[in-house]
Amino acid sequence: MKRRIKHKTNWLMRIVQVLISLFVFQSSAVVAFPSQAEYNFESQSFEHPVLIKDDVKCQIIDLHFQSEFVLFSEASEPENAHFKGCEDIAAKGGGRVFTQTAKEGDLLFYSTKIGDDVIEFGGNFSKSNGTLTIRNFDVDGALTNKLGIRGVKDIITDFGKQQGVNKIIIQGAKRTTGAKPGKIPSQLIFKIE
Amino acid sequence: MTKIIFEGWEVGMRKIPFTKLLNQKAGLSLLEAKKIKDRLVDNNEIIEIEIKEELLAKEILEEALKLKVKGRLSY
Repeated sequence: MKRRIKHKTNWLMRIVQVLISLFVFQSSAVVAFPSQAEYNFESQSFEHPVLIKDDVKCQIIDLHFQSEFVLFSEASEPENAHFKGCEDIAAKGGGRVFTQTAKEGDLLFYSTKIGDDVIEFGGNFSKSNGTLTIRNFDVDGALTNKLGIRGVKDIITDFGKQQGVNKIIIQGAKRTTGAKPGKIPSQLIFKIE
Repeated sequence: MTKIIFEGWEVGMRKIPFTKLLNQKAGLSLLEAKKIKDRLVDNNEIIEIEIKEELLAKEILEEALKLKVKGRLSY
């Protein structure tokens, strides 16, 4: 009798596990749901972390059950897994890898490689209704002044895809390099298809 | 205590590395460092930063000069 109940419980938990993975996929937060993320019935949690993508970066997060709800618990970020996860996400958004180099509040900095060169950009980020606005936008790197508007557009389009937005508004900070140092650039609006 | 006085910027100033320099070496938060960069560049303000160790102050100033920020030390 006990074995039968345990058997039924196991099946029930497997169904719940499948439903959860479907739910998380639907919410587009999960980039990968590793096959090894088996549910442990004794500890009532998944044995392996699940890779998810939040608004600004990718990370490894443990899934835990509490009652019938699924909670995202504290992030654990094994270095290699984190890096691999970031690459996976980049592959889904134009093939470019964006690495977050610094963050405090809404102030974020990212770097990305173009050939052998690295450019870095950042500013005050805010998201609303599918639009990402970056105020006081700064960009730095050896290629910065050679990129041109088309180069910037390519990078920003890839970045927008990875951020899951359909429009990016850039309000640049006063220029210190390029053709017109001292000038505050006009606002740029990029639609992400 | 040594003061670093940032007096302006030259064409070619590298804003992001300057912000990170202040954040990583001058003991300022990233937001504070960014605000100082904004005040220096956008408002052309003269900025004073106090650093406990003279050697560190010299190091920060040297790096800032390489990033094309104008400045000097004051004792």
